[in-house]
Amino acid sequence: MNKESIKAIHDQDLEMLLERLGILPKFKNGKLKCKFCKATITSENLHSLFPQSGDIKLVCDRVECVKELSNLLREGKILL
Amino acid sequence: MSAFDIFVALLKYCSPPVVFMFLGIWLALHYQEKLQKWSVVFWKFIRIFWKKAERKIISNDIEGRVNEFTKSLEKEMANFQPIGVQIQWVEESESPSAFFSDDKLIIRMRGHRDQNKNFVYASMVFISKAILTKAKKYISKTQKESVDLFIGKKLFEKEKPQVIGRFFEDFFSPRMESGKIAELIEKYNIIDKAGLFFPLLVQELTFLGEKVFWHRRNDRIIVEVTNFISFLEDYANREIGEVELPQNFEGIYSRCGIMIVARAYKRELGNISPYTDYINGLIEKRIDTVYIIGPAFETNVKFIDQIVGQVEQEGSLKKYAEPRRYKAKIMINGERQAINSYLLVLRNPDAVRYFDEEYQKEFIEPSLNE
Repeated sequence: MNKESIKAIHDQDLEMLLERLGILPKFKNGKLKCKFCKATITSENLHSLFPQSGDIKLVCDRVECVKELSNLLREGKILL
Repeated sequence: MSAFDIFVALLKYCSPPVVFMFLGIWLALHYQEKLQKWSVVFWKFIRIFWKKAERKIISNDIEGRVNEFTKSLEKEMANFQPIGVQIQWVEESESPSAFFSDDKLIIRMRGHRDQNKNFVYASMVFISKAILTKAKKYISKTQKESVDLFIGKKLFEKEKPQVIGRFFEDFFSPRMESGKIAELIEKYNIIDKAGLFFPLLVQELTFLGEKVFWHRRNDRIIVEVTNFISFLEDYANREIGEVELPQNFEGIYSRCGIMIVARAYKRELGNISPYTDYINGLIEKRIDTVYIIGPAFETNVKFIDQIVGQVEQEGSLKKYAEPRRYKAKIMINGERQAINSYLLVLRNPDAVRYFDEEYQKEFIEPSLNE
């Protein structure tokens, strides 16, 4: 069976990843915004993150934002 | 010789540890997904001593269930190549440069106590990206999204009913507020009751996705897919014995035809020519796939097989897979009743994938000649 990989980060390692990406202080200070709705990203609402044009984009778990993300995935604008 | 007979014979000639080793390998090869699902219990125990086992609980649950579902579609669609999911945990050593060069989405997974949310969110990301990838180039946003939602619903109902509430709350109910999505989902639901969602609709979208057109009119493809869905809905909603509704569908871009063989008086006459003539007409129009559907009682199956035998003898179309027998819920006196049904797929073995200018002007869009 061919398999499609999904990269995942566990909550236990989330801060470590954000630190390596240099955005942990902003995350802790509520300075990171959702790519789609611009809501503040918190440990409660973070859905996913991806690189785009050299920047790090974060997505919250609002229905509309997950829908927008799915559209980008279907169109191949974001990779799995 | 059954698997059990082989097991008993092995016990006779080999030592038990060797037999159990072979049994383990055989189970791992044949029931990988089930083993993965069951292993979650084992990893939950290990987690008491080793916190990192948390990842195994999450990934094995998602991989085992999603992959078992996609594998089960092999029984529903002819020559279907299942695609599975694999959770790839971001390593502690992942550097920022790896994150950017990989250029991939990273999905956040909560602790295993929130596994329903993990399962639903990861599955929906997988479905969006991995299911019907090629067909999604051609169909509308609403068609794509509604198909994904319906497949998600089928996956959760079959593999993990306890997450349905989460799926409805976070995905299904909010999207059903869009009239267009709700309308399509309702059509899929009806088509699925007649047992044709995967074997016919998804199958044909898969074939459509594999085609490349010299001059593609996505707007026309979208209309054709809409008409195809409506045709299947009408078929699924028809009263048994209904003769007014169209019995056939001919797609221009999808290059498919559907033929229903169910009318008693035609069968009783035993004359297969009207059917073979109709199929020959489809072949002349360069139709690649013909789906023949009918009730699965023996005289009708024999009649369908006779038609298919004649068509195969003439050479342009071949059986694409073994016939499928399934339960379809058909309307009888206003109520749905489960009826044994029969589906046979005939396909042109030389079906083209690239439709060049000449071909399109002749068989797809004669208006391009103007």
